Amino acid sequence: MRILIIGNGAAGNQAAASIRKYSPECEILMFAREYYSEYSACALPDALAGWIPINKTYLKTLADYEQQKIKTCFGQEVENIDINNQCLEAGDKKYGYDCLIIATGSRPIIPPINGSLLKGNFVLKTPRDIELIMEHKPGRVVVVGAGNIGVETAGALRNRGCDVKIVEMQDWVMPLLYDLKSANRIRSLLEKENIGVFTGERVIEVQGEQRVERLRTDQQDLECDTVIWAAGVKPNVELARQAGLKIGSLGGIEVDKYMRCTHPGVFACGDCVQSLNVITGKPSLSLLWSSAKRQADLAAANCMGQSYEYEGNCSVVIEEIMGIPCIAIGLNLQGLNGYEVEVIEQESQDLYYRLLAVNDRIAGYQCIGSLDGASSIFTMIKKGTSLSEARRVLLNQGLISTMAWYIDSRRYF
Amino acid sequence: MKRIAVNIEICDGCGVCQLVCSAQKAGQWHPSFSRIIIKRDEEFGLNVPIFCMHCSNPPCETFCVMNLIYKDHDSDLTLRHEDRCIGCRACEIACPFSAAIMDPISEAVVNCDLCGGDPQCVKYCPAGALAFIDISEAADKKRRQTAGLQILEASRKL
Ligand SMILES: Cc1cc2nc3c(=O)[nH]c(=O)nc-3n(C[C@H](O)[C@H](O)[C@H](O)COP(=O)(O)OP(=O)(O)OC[C@H]3O[C@@H](n4cnc5c(N)ncnc54)[C@H](O)[C@@H]3O)c2cc1C
Repeated sequence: MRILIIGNGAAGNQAAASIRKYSPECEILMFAREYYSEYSACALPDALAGWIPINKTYLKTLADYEQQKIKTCFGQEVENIDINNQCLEAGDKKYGYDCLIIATGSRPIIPPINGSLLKGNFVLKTPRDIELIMEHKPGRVVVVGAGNIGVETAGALRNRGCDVKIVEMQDWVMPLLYDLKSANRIRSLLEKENIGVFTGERVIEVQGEQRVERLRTDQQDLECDTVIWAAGVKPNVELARQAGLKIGSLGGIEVDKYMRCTHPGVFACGDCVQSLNVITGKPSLSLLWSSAKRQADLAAANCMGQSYEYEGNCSVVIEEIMGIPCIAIGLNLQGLNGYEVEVIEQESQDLYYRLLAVNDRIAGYQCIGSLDGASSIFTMIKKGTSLSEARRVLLNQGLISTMAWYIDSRRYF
Repeated sequence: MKRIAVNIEICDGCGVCQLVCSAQKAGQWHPSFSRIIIKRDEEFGLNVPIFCMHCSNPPCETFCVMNLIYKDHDSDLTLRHEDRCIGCRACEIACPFSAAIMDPISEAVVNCDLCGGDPQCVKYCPAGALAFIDISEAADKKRRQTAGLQILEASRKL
């Protein structure tokens, strides 16, 4: 049996590792654009900040692939998939397969505006990007996009002593994760760190002669020598589309519960797919490390003849800003648009939290100031626990004594 | 296969297990360094020691962004390459039992590893609320009824 994996990211490598649990011997070939071994994108902001050395972001050595008996075709762009003849083309060669796992991931979006190709424009996606940013010697930086990557990147460069501003098109920071009130807390933490935060501003163009000199928004000109694009990522689906596989409404490869694409023998997982959200049951792009690994584990198992179903994605994003832990789990009001949402919230000097529920079912949680009890709430959101059920357990001595790990979450109910 | 079990009826929350653990694992004498945590419930006067359940399909492993958590083949324990941890705390949130702890000095998240087969918390528990038992033998009804085993069974269902 020969399995081809396109992608050397979290998804591709998890798929390979999981296949090995079922078959120590089958042939595995992994293709990737880049030459280097697997790294953790999630650790890049820490390396950019200088908290960890860049080489610590690598998760594997090339010898590890050999040990796992994965044949690597790195630096090899896959140009074409011929799903009818079960083969793909890369570098003038054809490779047949019994099973194909597409884990092509995503790429940062750089909008096609004036000046976005000038020297001094960067993204943060690979360890190489950190080297490029540092070689450029950034002094005055504008980060475009206040999602989790933008916020972490801003904090990292602030730590390097740069003058840092964030421009966000939507009305508050981390708009896909937090609601206004919690986002405002995060905003003031960023401002305490001396990061300038400009929300509700659209970037018009980047200006400069030879290199970036300023960034113009619909409201002001920001002098800078460096622009970092953190305005979202886009699934890499061109290859899959060309092959005739169905692409979903959100721009991710369409897969069923078994991570199968719309053609037999082809699976997909990670940032390149769209999957169902565990709370709403609606399609969503998860774009998270844990989702990539979970989906890859299932894709691998199912391509080895099992039939495990994906339970759906549920987002968890943790940040630490100015030493304050911030966490968003599940969906925020924007994600629950169209539903009637009950909000339970509490605010004090150093803690803010809100719990969102739809039809009594816990659907989202945001907290600035503490991670206590968050793991219980995450479990409840995934399981579809209702507020009343949570309260029943938390207020019953017999039940809580056998599920004592829930105790810390009682204060939220 | 031996695991720690708790009899919550006997545990009086004295905290010796936490001190012994912190001394053994972190060279400190303070509960915040312990891999075993006593959950204290003031509402009902409960004290329940919590520790890694070594889930058969551990969610912490999936959530780890450094891929440093693994199931050990021989012991079936959930172990870590702690030196590679960047302290992102994703595993803490993923753990349904809140049993992954941030070590405040190394800033690595850690979990109970049963002290390599000789758990010090069990050895020094003054009340005898902790036991180190072979869970394959746990068909023994009386023991199964202890909360510790209920906890273990819950973890196996994950
Ligand atoms: C800076 C940053 C911080 C992040 N922080 C977090 C975080 O804190 N928590 C979290 O959960 N997630 C975080 N993420 C997201 C997380 O890293 C991703 O969800 C995850 O890496 C996705 O992995 P993947 O394998 O699906 O895709 P990718 O890592 O994008 O891998 C795609 C692979 O496919 C290959 N490929 C694509 N097309 C081709 C082709 N045609 N031919 C050959 N090879 C091809 C690429 O070369 C690459 O190897 C962060 C991401 C970034 C960039």
